[in-house]
Amino acid sequence: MQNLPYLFVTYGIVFVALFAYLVVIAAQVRGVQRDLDAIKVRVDRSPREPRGHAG
Amino acid sequence: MKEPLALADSRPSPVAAPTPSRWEALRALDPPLRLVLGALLVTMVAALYAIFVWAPTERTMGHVQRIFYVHVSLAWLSYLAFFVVFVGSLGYLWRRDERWDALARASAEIGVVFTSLFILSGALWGRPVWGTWWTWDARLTTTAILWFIYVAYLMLRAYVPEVPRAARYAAVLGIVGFLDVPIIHLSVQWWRTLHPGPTVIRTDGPQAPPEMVVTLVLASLAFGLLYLALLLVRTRLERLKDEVRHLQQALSLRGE
Repeated sequence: MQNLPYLFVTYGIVFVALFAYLVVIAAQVRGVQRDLDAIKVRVDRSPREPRGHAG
Repeated sequence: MKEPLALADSRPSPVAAPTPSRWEALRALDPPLRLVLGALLVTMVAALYAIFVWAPTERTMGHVQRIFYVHVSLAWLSYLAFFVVFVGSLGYLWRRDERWDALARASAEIGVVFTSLFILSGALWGRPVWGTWWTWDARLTTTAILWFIYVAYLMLRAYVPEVPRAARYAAVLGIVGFLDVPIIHLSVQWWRTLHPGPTVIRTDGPQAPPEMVVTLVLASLAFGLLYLALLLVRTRLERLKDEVRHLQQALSLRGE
């Protein structure tokens, strides 16, 4: 019974670390999605080059 | 690790879609993800019940032996993650398709997280059982090498600026690095080690009681579903990053 703290610390660290990793990924997804939305708006607004333009 | 995604004009646009909250964004990523997360929840609860209540207490080590279930499951899933890196790397070098590269990148990061956790859980198990946190035993040393190989893989991805070149170099490292996995598995047979040999995957059948084997399988299934959920989200994230990069390149070609 004296080794019980090792058991609970191990499971505690594993689950806290995995949950923190999930939160970090979710934050990254949110950030990249925001960047993508913003850049899509810029692409839609940007004037396209006329076709056949000889330069 | 995060690629620079800052835009020259990042002011919110009045026509841009409202940014979803963290969990809404996670849920909206992939339709099968919710199914995997549901199965993960059920399996993880069952696995934790089996680990802490149903599985018998080992006679010599006592309750601390229950670390075995999380330690071995994470180890197996790490090997699977690096096998996916191996397959993704081969696929990228063969097809030059960014989807293979995204799969390899995503799986490498998850593999490093799982490897870090199984090394840590091993140290926390080794301290009360062996009397030491760490020893330069063949199994532990080859595992540490595995961790360094895939940390190097992630550093390569982060610091080589040209994405196709980084993908090519990383693919080679992902293929060569995987050779360490069978070496880790066989290290306990090739060298005299403090780490015990396999007790479950053996040619003469498992040497653990059936309840322990079932609990290990259940825990591995739960962590396997967790790996699958993380892989779905991380691969989607990598694809989104690729899309942002391509659009930025298109804008810069237009002179913006």
